[in-house]
Amino acid sequence: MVSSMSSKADVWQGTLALMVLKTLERAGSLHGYGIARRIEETSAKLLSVNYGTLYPALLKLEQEGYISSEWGLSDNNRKAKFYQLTRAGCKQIEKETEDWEQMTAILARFLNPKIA
Amino acid sequence: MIKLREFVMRIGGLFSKQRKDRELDDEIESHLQMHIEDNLRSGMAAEEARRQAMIKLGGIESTKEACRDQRGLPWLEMIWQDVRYGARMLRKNPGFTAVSVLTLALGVGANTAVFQLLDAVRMRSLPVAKPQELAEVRVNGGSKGFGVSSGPSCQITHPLWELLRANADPFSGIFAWGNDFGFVIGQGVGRHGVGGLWVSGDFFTVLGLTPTRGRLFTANDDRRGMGPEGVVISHAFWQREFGCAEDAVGKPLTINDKVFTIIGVTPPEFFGLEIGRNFSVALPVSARGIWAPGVLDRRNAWWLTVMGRLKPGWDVKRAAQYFDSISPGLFEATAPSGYSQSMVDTYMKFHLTALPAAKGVSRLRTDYEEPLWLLFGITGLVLLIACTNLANLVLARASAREGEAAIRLAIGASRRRLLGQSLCESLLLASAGALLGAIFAGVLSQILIWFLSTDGNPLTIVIKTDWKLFAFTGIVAVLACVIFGLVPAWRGCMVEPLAALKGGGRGLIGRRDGMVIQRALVVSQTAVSLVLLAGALLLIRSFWNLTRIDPGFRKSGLIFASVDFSRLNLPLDGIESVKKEFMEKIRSIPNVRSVASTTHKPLSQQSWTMAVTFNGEEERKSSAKITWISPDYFRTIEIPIQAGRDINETDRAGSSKVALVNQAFVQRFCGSTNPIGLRLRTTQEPGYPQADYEIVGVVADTKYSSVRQEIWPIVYAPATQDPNTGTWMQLAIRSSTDANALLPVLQKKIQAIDPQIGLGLSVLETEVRDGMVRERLMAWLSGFFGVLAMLLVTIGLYGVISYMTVRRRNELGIRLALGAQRHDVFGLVLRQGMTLAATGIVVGIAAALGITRALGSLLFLVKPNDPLVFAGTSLLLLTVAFLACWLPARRAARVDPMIALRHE
Repeated sequence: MVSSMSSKADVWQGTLALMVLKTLERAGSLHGYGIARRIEETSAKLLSVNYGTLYPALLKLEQEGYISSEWGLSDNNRKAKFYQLTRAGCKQIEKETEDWEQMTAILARFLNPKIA
Repeated sequence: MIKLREFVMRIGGLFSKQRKDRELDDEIESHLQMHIEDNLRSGMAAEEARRQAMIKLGGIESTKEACRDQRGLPWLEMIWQDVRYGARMLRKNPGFTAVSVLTLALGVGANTAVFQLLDAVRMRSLPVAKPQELAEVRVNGGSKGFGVSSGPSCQITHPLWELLRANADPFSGIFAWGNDFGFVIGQGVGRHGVGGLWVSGDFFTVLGLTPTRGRLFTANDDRRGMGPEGVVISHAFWQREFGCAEDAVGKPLTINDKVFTIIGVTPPEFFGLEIGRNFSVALPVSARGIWAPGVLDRRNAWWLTVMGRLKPGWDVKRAAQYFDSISPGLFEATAPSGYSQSMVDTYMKFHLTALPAAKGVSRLRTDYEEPLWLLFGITGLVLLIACTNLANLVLARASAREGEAAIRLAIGASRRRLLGQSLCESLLLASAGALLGAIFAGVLSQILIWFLSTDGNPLTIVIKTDWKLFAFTGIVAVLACVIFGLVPAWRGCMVEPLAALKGGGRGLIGRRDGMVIQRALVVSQTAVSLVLLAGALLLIRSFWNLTRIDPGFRKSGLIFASVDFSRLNLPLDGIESVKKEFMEKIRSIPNVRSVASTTHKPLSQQSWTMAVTFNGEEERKSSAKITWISPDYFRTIEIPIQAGRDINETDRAGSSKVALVNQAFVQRFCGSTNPIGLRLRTTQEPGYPQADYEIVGVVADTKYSSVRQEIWPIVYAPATQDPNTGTWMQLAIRSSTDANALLPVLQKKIQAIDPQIGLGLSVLETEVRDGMVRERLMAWLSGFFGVLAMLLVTIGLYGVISYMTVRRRNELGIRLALGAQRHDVFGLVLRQGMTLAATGIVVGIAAALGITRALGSLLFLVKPNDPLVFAGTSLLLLTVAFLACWLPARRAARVDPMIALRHE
């Protein structure tokens, strides 16, 4: 994932996966292009994404069993590959959300010691 | 779990690649189309819409590549790619591949075969429960020829065994056993001999063996005075004779004319306790008394091996101390009677000791351990040569492919990748070589066993292909791979792309640096092969010497017959006339020139020593060999009588005792006195009271029990005056035709006289030859490997010189263009090769002088630094090296300067 602040590719790799999962949770079933657009929109266009980096991430998530895919037809009748969450994916969202919240809470304490 | 799932999916991703590639294409295509449509909708021009969509996606190919990497396992695919590439390269060079794989296979195969045999003979433990707890009890230093011994592993007499059984503190269980190859199974026509074991009652229990069928012996089955009762048979015998029939147990089995009942079958993996000799039937030790009454009380018959299982807390060393400490009492209690006092004193001074017995006993081990290790060394060196040869070949190829490597480096391949690829190629060669080598090994070890087996001594060794062996082959192959793969691979990837591309093999003079390694390899190869060849020639010469030894009589055409009249149930007092009559009948058989009886078969490892005092002087007591013969013996085996008379019909049991002696006897005891008329006195032994013999003749010296030994003093006395004659006799038969042709005739004629006569026939020459099997094996194999090494060196030298010549083509072309004569160029190349060979030979001689000393004990009548052998080896190698250099040199001399200079 290329972005304006992609000095930590690892972190971005992890966050991209969570973003994809979260997007799918909300949208149900979606194709790759749709996912990319949604992520862009959700981030209020703060993220500049090379859409191409999405596909290896999708493949990895599928291999891990968090999402599944099938071919279908898009709104304007174009053949496309649709992804949806699996049960394991749902659980993974819960887990990663917790991790992130904990992470941000810790970071927040450092950034703003007064809250603590 | 998730990681594992991903891994499994990725492995799955390695397959049906094309379909997945197509799907990915489709997916990205549809992505692009959707994006373009969106862009169009937002009002972009068609061209711009497409451009923006492409930019947003990033590189299509790099996306696909990233997906492909995520889909499969990139490293695995890379290896697979390397393997395929390597295989393709090997296929494209069938000559190189064949030579490499074959040499490696021969090296690995020979090593493995010898290792297998070593393993079988030396390293494997007995197939019994906890073999490491077993210890053997024997007389320290052996019985030193006292009494009668049934073989080198038979160290205990029966009376001693009975005492040991009662005094076995270190052992939780103790047992005795002995081999016997005189068992005859069945009746009438189907009678045949098998190997057997005498075992004490606890034998199977202490070894912890469970029967396959029926039951094995217990202490109850082994009782003094027992009759023919139960017999235990081996699994192999059960298979062979009964086809594994369930009802074999309970069936009768006739052994040496007594009927026993089969009570059980031993487990299939149990072959006995002597490696190389399997048993078919096992009888209780006490059952020996059925045929040989009194044998159980004989205090001078060493026919048992005693072993025990150490109690917890005891080790072999402590057990040895224990048995040493109880020795005086044991030997005093079993001191044999009928011997002179000094002999009894010798006996009483014997001491027992204990030795580890986890690996059983083995005549093979004592005879072949050293030669096998030596062979192992030889095959190791051959493998080394094979490896250096390969290193050289690969090196030459790597240099030839420097250009290719440089291009690949220049267009972005990593050095690691190049190194990996070279290694991969070497690994392919190594595994192909090792695989083929494993097959070779199987064949080769069978050949080795066949080599070691003789008619009189069939070998049964189970060659097991076990993990140890596989580990061994694997290590050898991998080592080979590392040795011959790494050097060229390293060199190959250290290429400076620019320099290599510029040079492109067009340099006027081949770069020297690469050739340094190659030269060093050729020199060391030559040196190693000189060591091997010198060793081989020494062993061959030693074997040659051995076969050429004159035993003092004529070996060829001599047959020995062991004749047993015991089953005729003749009265003992009439036996002499029966024997005489029998000899007359043999003599009348066509092609039998002469017949005589003798108690000693020469050159057959038998020995009969008697203490003699000479001419009445007690202090000059010494020992001599004694042989009881009939008249005509010297004429039959062709020993010239040098003085006095032969034994004749007038020398009867009652007449005055006479003897002939050999030259060695005269030299040792008589000095310058005329021996005829002197008297020698034999010392008392059981069954042989002290007696005086008058020397009536002197015969020439002959070798006694082996051609390898010194000449012994021998006394020949008339068979009629032998105080102990029985129903057995041995005949020497001189054939006037080929002995092997006469053998079946004799067999048939003697059967016709009386089928009940027990008969064993042997051709002396065959037996003597079989007795040299060790030397023959070493001569043949070292010769084979020596020649192999020489061939490998020839190939190596030829390869390197041809390669050097090719690299120097431009230079040679210029030389020729500038006016050098063709024979100058020829000489130049030849000199280059011969310098390498000569250096190798000098280094090799220096090394060989040190190494061949290890052969010492295996050499016969040839010194380890025999100058003739060394000169011959050097000459042979020089000749071969000359031939190997001659072809490339001639090719170099025929270079057309124009072509060479134009060639890029």
